[in-house]
Amino acid sequence: MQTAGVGPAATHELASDRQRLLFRVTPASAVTTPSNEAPHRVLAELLKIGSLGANWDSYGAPAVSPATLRRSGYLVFQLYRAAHTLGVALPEPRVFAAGGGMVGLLWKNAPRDADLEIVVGESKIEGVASTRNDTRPWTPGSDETLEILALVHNLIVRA
Amino acid sequence: MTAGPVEDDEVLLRRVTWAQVADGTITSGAFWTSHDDGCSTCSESHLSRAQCLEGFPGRGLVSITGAAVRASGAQAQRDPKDPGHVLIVFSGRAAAKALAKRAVLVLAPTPPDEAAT
Repeated sequence: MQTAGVGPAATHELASDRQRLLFRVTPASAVTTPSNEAPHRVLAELLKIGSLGANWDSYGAPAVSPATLRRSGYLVFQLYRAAHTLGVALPEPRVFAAGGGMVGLLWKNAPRDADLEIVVGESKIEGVASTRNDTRPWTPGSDETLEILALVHNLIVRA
Repeated sequence: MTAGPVEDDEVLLRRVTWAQVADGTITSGAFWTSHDDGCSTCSESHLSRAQCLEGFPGRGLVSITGAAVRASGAQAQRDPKDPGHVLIVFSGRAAAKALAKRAVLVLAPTPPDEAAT
């Protein structure tokens, strides 16, 4: 049976295996969410983004760091867990990459011409809510998970 | 062909990968850059689409006009040493999103399953 090591060597080994690193952030309670497939599809997209090498955009962008990937994965699970706890719908986001080694989550309501982008980096998270005639930046307050859920609900879910 | 200011109807091209376009939506990631001097584009008045993509297989192209850049709250600055190279200068994620909303996907990038990363 494979055992988890400790110390710098184990940390390096973990960081070198992005799939293992990403799924390590899965909280135990996530197994109780009824829509387990959705976060795992999002995580699969995150892994694809995480596999991009340096200069993936042909303009010199750095690769997505393990820390950014881990933070993005953790945010996804936090969102699904909070949505389940509160009994609110959380449409499945699409994942994208942005320069600076950042990872984005996109929710879209095409009929309303509205979308929400949440972009995660190593040291910051930010977003932008967009409607047909308006584009507004968002920065997290005291509870980013609930704030994002509220944005998704108001902008994407609620017709 | 001009080397002066970027005209309102001048078309600027930026390469994109599958990771910047989600379900046909151009994300702010297409324009967001960590470069301090701005986001690089090719002016279609000086370079063809094929030239802009030369050496970058699998990439797609988005286009935006000089007028749309300014309407997004950004600036279009021509490189004085290379008139075919135009930098889009802006500040903040909302401006990147405003650019993405006004941009047009003129060539879709190769999907990830077919693209070499």
